[in-house]
Amino acid sequence: MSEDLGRWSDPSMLVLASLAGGPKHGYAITQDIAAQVGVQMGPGTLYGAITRLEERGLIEALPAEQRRRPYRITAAGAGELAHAARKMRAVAELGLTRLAGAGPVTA
Amino acid sequence: MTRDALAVRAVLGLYPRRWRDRYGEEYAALLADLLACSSRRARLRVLANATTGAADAHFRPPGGMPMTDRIRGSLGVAVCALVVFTIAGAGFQKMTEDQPFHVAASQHVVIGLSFSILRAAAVAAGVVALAAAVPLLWSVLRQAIAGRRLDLLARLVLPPLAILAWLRIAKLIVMMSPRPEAHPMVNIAEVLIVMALGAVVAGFCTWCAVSILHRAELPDRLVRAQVIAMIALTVCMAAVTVSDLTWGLALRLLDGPLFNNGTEGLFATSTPPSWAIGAVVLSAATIVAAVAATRAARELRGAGAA
Repeated sequence: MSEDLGRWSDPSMLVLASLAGGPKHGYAITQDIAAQVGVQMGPGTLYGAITRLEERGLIEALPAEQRRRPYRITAAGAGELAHAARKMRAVAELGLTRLAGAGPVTA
Repeated sequence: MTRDALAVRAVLGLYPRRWRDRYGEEYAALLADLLACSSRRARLRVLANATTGAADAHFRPPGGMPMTDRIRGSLGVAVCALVVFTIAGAGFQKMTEDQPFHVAASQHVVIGLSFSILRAAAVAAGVVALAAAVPLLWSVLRQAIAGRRLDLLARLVLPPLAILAWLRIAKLIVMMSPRPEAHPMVNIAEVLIVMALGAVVAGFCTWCAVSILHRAELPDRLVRAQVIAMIALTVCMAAVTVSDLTWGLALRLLDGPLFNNGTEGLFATSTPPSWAIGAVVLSAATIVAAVAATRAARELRGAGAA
């Protein structure tokens, strides 16, 4: 399913990862991602991801609190995040293992 | 109203109405929060990102919408591109109506041929646009009359009236104008006024057309047929753009003095900037139309596959 998200897959994964820690509204998501991953996600990028994730049922909106609407990850979203995270971990482990085996890389 | 509130409202206004209906309030709150805690430089980044997000929202409307609604969205984008393209094309036509360009076209095959292809493709684009628009307008007109839809009637009637009023004002300005050679600045001011009014009228007509596309209930088969028209229109626009580029480059190579030293550009400026700006606008409008047509075709193909 992550392929369906096209070029928005990375912001979408960041949003899913943030919401995996509990429901958050837009500003809280940007602050959480900045603090945890060091990525400053702009409002257009964030809501592009939120729009697509909501359409695909990977997150859902909760009742608004003073104009700020929190979102939470759904079961499908958690499954999608877990699947993507396992793939990313496999790629990371492969890369690190191969790099360790090849010795120091010279330009 | 504070500067931040104005900026938020302006940026939010760039997003599609349906998107604003769903996300507008919470998005405005997010923008206000981000602007309130950002440095001046970071604020610019926030606003720039929000603006590109608006373009994305237009190009990728929510997937929950019916397929024909998404095609309508692409069609609206194509209409905007066509209006900009037409204005740039009119500028090229105005620039090349001077005698030296006709002489160059008759003396050099490449210049003459590219000019002829450009005109033929422009006529073809007009025919395609007309053939696509007439059934749509007829359907909307019938619906507006039968359903007493004043909003649709107003959007159908006002654009031709606005164009007629603009032509009338332009004619009056020309009639009241003193001899241009005696007052060149007055002449330029008059042309600028006519152009500014024309831009306002073009913007209004475009808004009416896009608004009709969003408001009217159009038969699915008619909306689907528009995809073919969009593809054909994009091909014609591409032909015009390529011919325009060929024409300018050929003129530069084959008739350097006319291209480089002439003052045959718009407002008697030198030719290269007039041609270059026109070429850039034509290219941009063609790319936008191509993206819109591709998206619409993909929607149609996706619906066919499903």
